[in-house]
Amino acid sequence: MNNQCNNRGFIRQNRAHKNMCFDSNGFTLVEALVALTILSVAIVPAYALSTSSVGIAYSIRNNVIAAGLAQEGIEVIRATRDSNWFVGSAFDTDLADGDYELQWDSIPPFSIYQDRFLYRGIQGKYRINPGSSSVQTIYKRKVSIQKISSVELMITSEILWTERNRSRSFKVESHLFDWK
Amino acid sequence: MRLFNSHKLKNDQHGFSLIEVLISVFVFSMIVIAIGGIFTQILALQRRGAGAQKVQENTLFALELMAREIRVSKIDNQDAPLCDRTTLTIVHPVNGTVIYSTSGGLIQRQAGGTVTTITSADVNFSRLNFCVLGTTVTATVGDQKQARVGIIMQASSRATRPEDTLVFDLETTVISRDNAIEFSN
Repeated sequence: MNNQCNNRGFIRQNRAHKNMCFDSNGFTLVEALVALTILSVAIVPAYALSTSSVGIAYSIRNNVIAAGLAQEGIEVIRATRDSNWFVGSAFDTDLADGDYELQWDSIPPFSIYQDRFLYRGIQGKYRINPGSSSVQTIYKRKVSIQKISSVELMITSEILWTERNRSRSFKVESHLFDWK
Repeated sequence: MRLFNSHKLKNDQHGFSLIEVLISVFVFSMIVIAIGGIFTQILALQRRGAGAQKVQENTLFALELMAREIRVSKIDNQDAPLCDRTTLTIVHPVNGTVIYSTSGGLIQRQAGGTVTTITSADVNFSRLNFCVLGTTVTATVGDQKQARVGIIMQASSRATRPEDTLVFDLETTVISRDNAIEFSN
């Protein structure tokens, strides 16, 4: 009987344990569970670390790009305010309250925000409409104008995108005054 | 012989059999290979993250430096509505004529005849384009538009393995605050 037990392999020991030799025991269920728990406790942080570092490189990139695009939204409105002065118009001409979409060379009237993705086209230029050899980006840009008083406009430029199934946004705010 | 006997009789004191040892070594090596794989993957991701951080530092620095100078400078007759300009010349009130361009994937700033490389060799700028509008002026007359300069950059970290790099396609626009010519009309 003992002989049989000794010759049995590791895998079949469980059966042997049950039927004949109580002393040649393998691991008990509890021992196996404890070992598994310890192993997974060791592996889970390593895995979490690896998945979080996947995100880090991408979120750095997306944030840097979003910051540039958000600033661009503010500057285009500011250029419009300045151009209004140059031609002798009121500083807020063509800058009515609302949400708009625009690109670097936009001039009034700006098109109303339509929740659309920006495209990147020739020379790497971000644009609101698809054009020749353009690719859709992950970004949407909403530029909002709000008239706070007769001499002050509040401009917010918000970049919206989805990163690893989570929506992210980057928002900047600027106040333009009629100081001329 | 005695050993064999005692082995036979006292079953609960025997060691692992060869097959048990082999199997456990096999299982252990599977686990080690799996963990090792994860570890090298983490290292690669860490390299890419560090590269992205370098790109971030360099692009933000270059953009900030350009933006600060563009805001106070005169930018005359540089219009490039198709963004095909790769060199930008501006006249700064303090630093004089400043020229931005790229050479060998590095951004260079020329001021007062001195060329300075303003970005690190760790980062490759594969594109630096300027989009310019509203800079058409004659001696006394402006175009009644505020000068705006769009800066487009494509940057990536220089890594030995291509999968460690991440390409940044950046764009921002800066407008000049210099209104002298326009207001003198």
